[in-house]
Amino acid sequence: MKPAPFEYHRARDVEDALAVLNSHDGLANILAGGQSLVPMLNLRVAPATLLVDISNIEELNGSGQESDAVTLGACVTHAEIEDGSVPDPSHGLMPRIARDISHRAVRNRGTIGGSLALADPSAEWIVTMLALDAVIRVRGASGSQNFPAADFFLGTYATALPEDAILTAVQIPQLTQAARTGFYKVCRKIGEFAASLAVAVIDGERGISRVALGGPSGAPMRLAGVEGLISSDTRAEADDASMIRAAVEADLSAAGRELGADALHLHGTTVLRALRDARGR
Amino acid sequence: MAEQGIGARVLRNEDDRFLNGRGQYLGDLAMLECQEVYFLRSPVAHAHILEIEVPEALKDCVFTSAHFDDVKPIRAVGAAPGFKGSDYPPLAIGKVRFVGEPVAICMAPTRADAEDMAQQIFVDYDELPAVVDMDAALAAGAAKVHDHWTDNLVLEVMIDAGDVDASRENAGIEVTGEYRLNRHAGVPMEGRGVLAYRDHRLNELVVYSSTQFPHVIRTALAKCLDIEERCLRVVAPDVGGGFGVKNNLQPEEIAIAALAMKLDHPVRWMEDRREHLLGCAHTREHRYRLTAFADAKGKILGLDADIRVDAGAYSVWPWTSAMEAGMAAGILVGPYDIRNYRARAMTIATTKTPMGPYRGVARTGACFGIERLLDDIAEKIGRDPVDVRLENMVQPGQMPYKTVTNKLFDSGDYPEALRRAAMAIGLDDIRKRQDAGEADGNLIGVGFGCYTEQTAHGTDEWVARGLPVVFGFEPTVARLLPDGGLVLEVGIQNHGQGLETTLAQVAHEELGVDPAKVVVRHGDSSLSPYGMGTFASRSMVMAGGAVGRACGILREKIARIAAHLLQAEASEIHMRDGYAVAGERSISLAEIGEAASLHPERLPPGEDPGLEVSTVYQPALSSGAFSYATHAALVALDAELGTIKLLDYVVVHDCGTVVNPMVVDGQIVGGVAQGIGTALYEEIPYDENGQPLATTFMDYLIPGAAEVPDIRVLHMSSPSPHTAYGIKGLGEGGAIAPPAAILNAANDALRPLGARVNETPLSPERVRAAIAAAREAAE
Repeated sequence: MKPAPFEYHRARDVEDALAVLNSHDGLANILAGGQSLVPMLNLRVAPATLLVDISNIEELNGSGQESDAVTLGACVTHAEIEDGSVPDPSHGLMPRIARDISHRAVRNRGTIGGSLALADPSAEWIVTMLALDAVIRVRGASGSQNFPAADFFLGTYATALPEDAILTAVQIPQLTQAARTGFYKVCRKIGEFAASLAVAVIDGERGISRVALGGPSGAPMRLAGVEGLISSDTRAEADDASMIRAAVEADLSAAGRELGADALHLHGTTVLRALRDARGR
Repeated sequence: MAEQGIGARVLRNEDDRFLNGRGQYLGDLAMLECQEVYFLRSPVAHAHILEIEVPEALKDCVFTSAHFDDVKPIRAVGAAPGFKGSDYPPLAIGKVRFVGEPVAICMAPTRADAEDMAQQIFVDYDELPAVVDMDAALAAGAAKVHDHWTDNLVLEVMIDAGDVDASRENAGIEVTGEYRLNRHAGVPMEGRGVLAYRDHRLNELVVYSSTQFPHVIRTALAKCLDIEERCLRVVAPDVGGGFGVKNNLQPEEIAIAALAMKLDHPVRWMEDRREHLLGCAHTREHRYRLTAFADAKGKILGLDADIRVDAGAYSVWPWTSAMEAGMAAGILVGPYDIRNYRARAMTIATTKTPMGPYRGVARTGACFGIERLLDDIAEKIGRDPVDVRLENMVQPGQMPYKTVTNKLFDSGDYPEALRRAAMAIGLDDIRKRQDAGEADGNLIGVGFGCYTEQTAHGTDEWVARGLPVVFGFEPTVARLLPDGGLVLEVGIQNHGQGLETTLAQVAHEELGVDPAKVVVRHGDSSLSPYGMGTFASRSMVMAGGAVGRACGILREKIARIAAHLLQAEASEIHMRDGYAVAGERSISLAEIGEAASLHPERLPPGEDPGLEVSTVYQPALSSGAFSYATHAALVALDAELGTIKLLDYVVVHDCGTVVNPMVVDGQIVGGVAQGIGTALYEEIPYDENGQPLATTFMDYLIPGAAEVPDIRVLHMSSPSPHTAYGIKGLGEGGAIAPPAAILNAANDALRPLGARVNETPLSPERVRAAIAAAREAAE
């Protein structure tokens, strides 16, 4: 479990990283926290002839509070989000989710940008960004682009990130003080990837009722049918577990996700518990 | 001075180097010009090797079996009639039989370079059908793992004791259950590793290996390499956990040693985690179909067992591939008084990684089988599982008790351990809690696992098992230095058991020497007398007995010298706190050591100089000292998700005389943690092509700090009548009962839903499947 030979370049800034990335005549990879990439290199399942290390680029480590949103640089770590050392637009949701990612040693180095760019289907941030309706910023040789999260995640380890571009930041709309958020994740033991996870964001002042679901495969998805149930604000109906479960099934089916009874049961349970978590807050 | 002898809570002599990160493991050895090895391993389960193409530029640093024509393979053949023998070559010859089997050595200045080389080698495999499942392996027309065999059944052992058919006729109740443990790995923190070089000055081949039994490895290696033992030195440096998987003659040991004989520089291989999960001996894959014939109170009148073990592709030395099934059949009756017993135990070969010993060995499977069966009997007759166990247990008044399979239980009160465990876990309150239901909607359940653990078995037992080697004794050389310090040279190997301290405590018991001034030397065939190593929960009994005996002989001479110097009678001398004491007078061990070694003129007339004793020990009875315990688990089960949380875990344990309570508790808790792994997490599934599906820690789960609750350990003490000081072994026990206790608890929790779970590890998927099956059956 030692990597094949590769070149290494520590980029000064985004332009430098892009220049090296796009002039390389082989398989170049961006290295941020390295918590997924390095094990894959060691197992020799992710061939790379060049690593462009972006972790020292000042711009990517920054964060900013705007009037109605927070922007986090791609290299902001899970630990920084967990510790509240960057602004939190999510009314506590993101620090809570960060605390549940893997183990602290991984959180110390792993980055939000790396997680979003990799798009492991079981990972936390892709589901969370979808639920928070974040905008993912990328910069490439031909300039900058913004992707709504809903358009960015295309499938298992598949995103809209162009090959010649770098994910630079994520901009997350600010929730109001009245917002309620919920989160539930199923995994075998602490620190493992999830078999199913759901994030619910309900912000009445802004007319937001979003439920996003992630699982062991495919892109994370919004559950429109479930959202319809909870936004209609008929508490009795929304409390009805079987209605929610049926809506989860219908949403998955509408999205072409044909799952077995056990997987449907699992996802239904996750969504129910995320909603219960949101109501409890 | 605080108590320091047998029974005292002495801090470990090892702590300074281990807790400060100064242990010296195989990876810490710094040798000039050492080259690193990567083993190219088979990516397929079963295939003929047509060709191995090595690029011309790599010819001098890539080695295959063709380079080692004169090296003998591992050959572990059991003495039982019908045992099908096979060769296990260090590098595959012509055919590969499991994913992970070593095919070629790549040698380079760094491990990364060696792995680069491996990617340039092309091996042409002509694939054969994989033999993945025990049933398929026995089916007519199944591909044969070894071509010269008639079929894949390595050995079938039958036991028929008492009269099972008669018991069936007398029984009012018949209960049949099928119980299954899935395959997993040993996962010591340090993987295996070997470093070897030729020492021209001493004319010997030096082999450092992360092994549990260096002396025995020297004997075995010498045979494989066809060199004399005097020309071979085997050293086990600090070893970061063994758990049995470092208790085999490893193919890689032979390959690296054979390679070093061709070279003029050291060469090293260090196993990484992926190699470990693929290539190191696996464990636990047992299947049980058990039928109990019982009376209305649940007393088992007869037991019928079908036991099957998937031993993988090769037989490991010296245990043989048939050890697991044979042991499981031999101890299945557990601590219960069952006189009519029939068993068929089958060892089956497949194209999977060979199975070898792992903490608990077959006992974990046997305990799981009989303990699940007892709970199924209890459910059938509507009695509490504790009462059904008490109905069946061997009573203290029956001790010593010979089981239906001729195991001799030497001492103990098995029912009392169970009663104390039920009390400690709060059985009555749990039953009330279950009636009331949990506020969070979870289901709670309590489960028990009882076992006896044969430990420190000697000559008779190993002869009966028909192994190529009989592990009958342990040696000690004890030497008092001129400054009063004591050196103990022993044949065991200390890899986390605290033996550098507990053996020093035994020396203190005999000589009054401060344990901190005792140095225990072990793990080096050139440094200590020939001994068998550390496994089978034997070292404290065997090496403890040898240290006690050597120090006792030393004490007699010390007493004579002290009596002469103090002008007292030898019979007046007592050893206390580093002094020989006679009434008001005393003389230090240092003064005695100085007289014996540097001033013979001070010795009594006719007394030989020097203070050194070499002796051996074997227990009075070599059938083993039986430790025993009851484990009790309280679980909360989330029926929607199938997840299980351990709320409480109690162990009531009896290992006779305890030498160091902190070490004993540590051994038990560590064993339970591994047992929790077997019960809930650890598994290497295979697909239909014989590909293992858990080859990194991404897919292979082990319990972490958050998954292991505080284990509450309570002690009883029935000293063994047959061993020095009454010590019984205990190293493995913690890992025996957790699957039984935890799955019994899970089944107790699931009872309201009518669901049953009988397979480890108990994943949420398996729990949900059981609940879904029960729901379907009810509809």
